[in-house]
Amino acid sequence: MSVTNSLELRRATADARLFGVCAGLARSWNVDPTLVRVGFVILTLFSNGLVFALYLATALVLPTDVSDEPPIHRMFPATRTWSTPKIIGVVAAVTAIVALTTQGMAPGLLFVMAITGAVIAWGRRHHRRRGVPARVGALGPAPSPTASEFERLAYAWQSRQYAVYTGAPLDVVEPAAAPVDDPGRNRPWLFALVGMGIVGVTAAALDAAGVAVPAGAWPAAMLGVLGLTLVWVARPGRPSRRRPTLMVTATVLCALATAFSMSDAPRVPAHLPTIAVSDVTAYADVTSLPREIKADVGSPHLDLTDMEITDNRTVNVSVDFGGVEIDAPKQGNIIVRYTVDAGSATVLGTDREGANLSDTVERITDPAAPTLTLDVHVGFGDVEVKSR
Amino acid sequence: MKRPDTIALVVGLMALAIAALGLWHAFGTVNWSAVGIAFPILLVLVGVSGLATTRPRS
Repeated sequence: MSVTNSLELRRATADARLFGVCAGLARSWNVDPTLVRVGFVILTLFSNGLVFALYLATALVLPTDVSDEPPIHRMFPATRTWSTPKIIGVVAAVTAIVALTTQGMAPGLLFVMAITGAVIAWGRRHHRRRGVPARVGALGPAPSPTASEFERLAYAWQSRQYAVYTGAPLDVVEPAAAPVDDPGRNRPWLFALVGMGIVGVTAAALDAAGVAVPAGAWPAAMLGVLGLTLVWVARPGRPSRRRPTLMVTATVLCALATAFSMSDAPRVPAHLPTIAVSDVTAYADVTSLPREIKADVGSPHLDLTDMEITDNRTVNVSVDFGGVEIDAPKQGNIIVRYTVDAGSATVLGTDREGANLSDTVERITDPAAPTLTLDVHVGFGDVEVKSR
Repeated sequence: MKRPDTIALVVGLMALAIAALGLWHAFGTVNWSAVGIAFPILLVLVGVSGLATTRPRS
């Protein structure tokens, strides 16, 4: 396998999950590909798929690490005479036009674009600061069983470099394990035992002073000491590279004991997500209208067009993810109070978009007549109240 | 530069969080609604820190 100049941004085929763009970016920025993938998925979710379109566009113009020809040259041979900036400009322009056509210039879109730009700028800076060898050569054959210690360690080092810069799995010869004799390995247990002793003495002193120490405090305090010890053990510069014997196991057992000690705690009520179907529900009588419509996910649609408002009524409609659509009564007084954490609100002729929206819109035709009040809350989604 | 021990770090941080919760429950009244928000956020932060400590280094 040939490995090309890693300073160039290329798709990484060895570690690709789809087209290798995230793996290529991770290699270029010298970070874990999983971080880039997680960021990509989050940005995709928050951009209504725009970032995925950018991903596809990037996959189109980037060559792989085993080929110098980008896919766009194979798909559109006429682009072979174009310069790289021209190709990138045209693809970016097409992507932007598609995004604007399908989604509009939403503030959230600008936010996502700004975040994406900041991430790329950070990655480029990170790349320059850390520096990456200009070229990573192909990995040679593994050393023979009769190879010297130096040859074996040198090969292990080369294979690590190869894996870091190509994203290839690290399944090559590893150096010998550290010697079994590791006197510093269990020293943290001394720290933990001293800490537990201090906790015990403190608790006994409190008990002697007449302060009641609940039984549940003991495992929690021990767990705290073990947790502190593990965080201390995790520090990069620790002389012994091995974890203290059974410390993780003891910590997990202590955590279970702490959890059991809290078993008399009031439980959070079991709450299954409620889903509101998007079928249209028509109400002709204000008294038949429920006072509360609540859903975690969904888009309830209330048709109140033919409703006659014969009585004052307040209805709370709340949806966390989705939207609310209401066809307002043709006649009568109506007040709509809405809040939207992120999304849009089209209410009785007003139109807003963005985050933390909240407003009150009224249609009062006869101040002496009964009024229907709609309190609408949507977490992420759209509110639409229209009057025919 | 040597890497931190990711498993020890993640288990240690989670142990500290559970210990804090246990002490809170032992000596006071736990606000479970606040815990319901804080713990998922803490899990995400611990997970991200675990990922960050495992990233390749040159």
